[in-house]
Amino acid sequence: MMQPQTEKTPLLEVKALKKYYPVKRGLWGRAGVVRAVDGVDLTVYPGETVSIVGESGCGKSTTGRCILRLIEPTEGQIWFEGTDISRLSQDRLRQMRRHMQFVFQDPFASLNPRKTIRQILSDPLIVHGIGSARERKQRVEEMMEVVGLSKSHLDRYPHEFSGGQRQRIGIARALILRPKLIIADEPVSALDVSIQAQILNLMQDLQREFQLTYLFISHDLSVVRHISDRVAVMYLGKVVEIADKKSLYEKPAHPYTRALLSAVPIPDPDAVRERIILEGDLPSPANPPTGCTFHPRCPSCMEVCKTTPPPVKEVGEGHLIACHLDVTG
Amino acid sequence: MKTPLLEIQDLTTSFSQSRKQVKVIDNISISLHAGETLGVVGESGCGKSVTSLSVMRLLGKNAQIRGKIRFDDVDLLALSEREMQQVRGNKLAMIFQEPMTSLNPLHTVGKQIAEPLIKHLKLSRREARQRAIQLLREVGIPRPDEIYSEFPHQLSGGMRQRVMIAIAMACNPKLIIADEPTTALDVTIQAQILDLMKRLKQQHGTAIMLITHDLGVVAEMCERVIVMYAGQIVEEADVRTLFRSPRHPYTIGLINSMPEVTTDRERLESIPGSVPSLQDMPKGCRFAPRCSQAMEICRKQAPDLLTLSETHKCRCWLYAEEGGA
Repeated sequence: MMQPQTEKTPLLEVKALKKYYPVKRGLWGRAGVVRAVDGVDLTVYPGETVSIVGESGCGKSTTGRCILRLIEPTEGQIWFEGTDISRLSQDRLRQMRRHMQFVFQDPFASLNPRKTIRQILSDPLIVHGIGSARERKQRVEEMMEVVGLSKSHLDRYPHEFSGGQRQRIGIARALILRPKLIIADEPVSALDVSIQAQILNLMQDLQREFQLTYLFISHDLSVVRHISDRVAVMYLGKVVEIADKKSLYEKPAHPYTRALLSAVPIPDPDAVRERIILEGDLPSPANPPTGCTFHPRCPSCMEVCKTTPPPVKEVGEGHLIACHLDVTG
Repeated sequence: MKTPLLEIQDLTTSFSQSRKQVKVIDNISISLHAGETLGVVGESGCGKSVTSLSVMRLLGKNAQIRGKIRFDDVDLLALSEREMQQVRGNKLAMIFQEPMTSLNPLHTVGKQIAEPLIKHLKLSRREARQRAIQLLREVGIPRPDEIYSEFPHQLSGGMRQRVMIAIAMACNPKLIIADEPTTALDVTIQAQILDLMKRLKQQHGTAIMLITHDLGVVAEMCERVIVMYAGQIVEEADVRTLFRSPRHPYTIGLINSMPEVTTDRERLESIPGSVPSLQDMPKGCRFAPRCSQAMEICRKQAPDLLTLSETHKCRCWLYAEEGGA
């Protein structure tokens, strides 16, 4: 695993990314907004794996999709290798997407059921006008073997494959353009543990082989610990803590991260559990709490948290939290 | 020794599919004592949910159930549908995975909790309402008087699962079968629900059969564990033995393929291949095609569930000498 060097230029830099959805309440109701993503900053260096982790509705998937402009962001900048892709025309954007690909969660819904695997894997090459028909055929066959499938399966349809095999196809489709960045949104959460391990191992092998950079989106803290170099924790559209894996898991500083980590069941009957049980549910992003959005559930809530949004503090090297508390990492 | 609360003997459930019988679970025997929490783990398609639905007798007409299921001294398979209805939701209750689809969207939450109280405990409407509100309070629902008249869609996923638990607890059952009760929930909400289940169990002494794919949940909740693979029990042990010295290569593989939140692992051990299809079960041991330790005999002859110690059983040829006697 590669550590980001101090002088390295980032591959991806997201600045103040926002995605608001308009909503209407009632028949004549005033229009409001759902702040799905509310000012996310994120930097990803070449060769590393950065994960975004959080519970449902925290905006992690929307963030991932906005970065590739599969959803148009409301505000913010997305710099990829020195180009702000948030302003690119559709044409230029399509050319850029060759370098940044997406792996979706649901291996059952993200492959076209009416196309053979050969067609599914050839399409990206055709769209980007890569190679002759013969070269494309060769590349497709090679890619099948890279992801651990047999090229004799190329003329089958997606329904003939198991969930794990389909996710391998999803990865092959993302990889066939030789991208630099892969954004993977919950790529293993629909899979059984034994298959999940196969896919995680495959992703790590491919990262080494093709010098890939991953932005990994997941709700599963154990999987995130396994695959990441750095981790960002999101809550209600905002990043509340970001750090390298070791600091985040061993010295979590934000009260939400601490509660989140303590909530994960440990597969050891003798483990000592000091569980912080959070009260209540995630508030609605259409009507977020004032001040720090986590304050109604926070076990360490102070007066100031109810009124003032928290500042971003550095509690260790590269370890940032958005919190009023005086904590050392 | 006391007679178990639930005793399943040689249960085989098959479905007819285009004139063929497909065995989904094969010769399963499980016993569960009053007040005990038993975990049933396995991956998709291992038959863990069909086992629970067989016990509840909630499978469709094309299911054939053979074997014996004794619950609280009653042979459940011998009951008529009408008699079974007297058991279900009364002494034997179930919590389903998906709280959105298992609550009726057209009825208020209150009505759904009051229903078993009126039907089984013969409470009047007013008494049922009071008891239902009390149950809602007990499962930690804020504003229980108001929530009583709300519909499931007005509640969050965690709240809905609390309502499901309130319904299951309504008649103070002896056994609750919980089929992946927290799988659809976020971790912080899962922690709340597991906490609630533990508290209710302590207060009421309810036995729980907890069906899950999550070994973390098992370690936390259960006293004894059954591991299923391809419709069979492959290992059974008390929870400590299962995690400290698992014996079946599948169990070992399952434990080693899990990433952990508390430790770093360079690489996960994965189990190669995938679960065999029901129509095409391997001739010998069902795990042999994926097993790194498979021997000659494993591919030819199916192993029995061997008793390794009083609390430990394992279906594997590796231990034939140890447990063969």
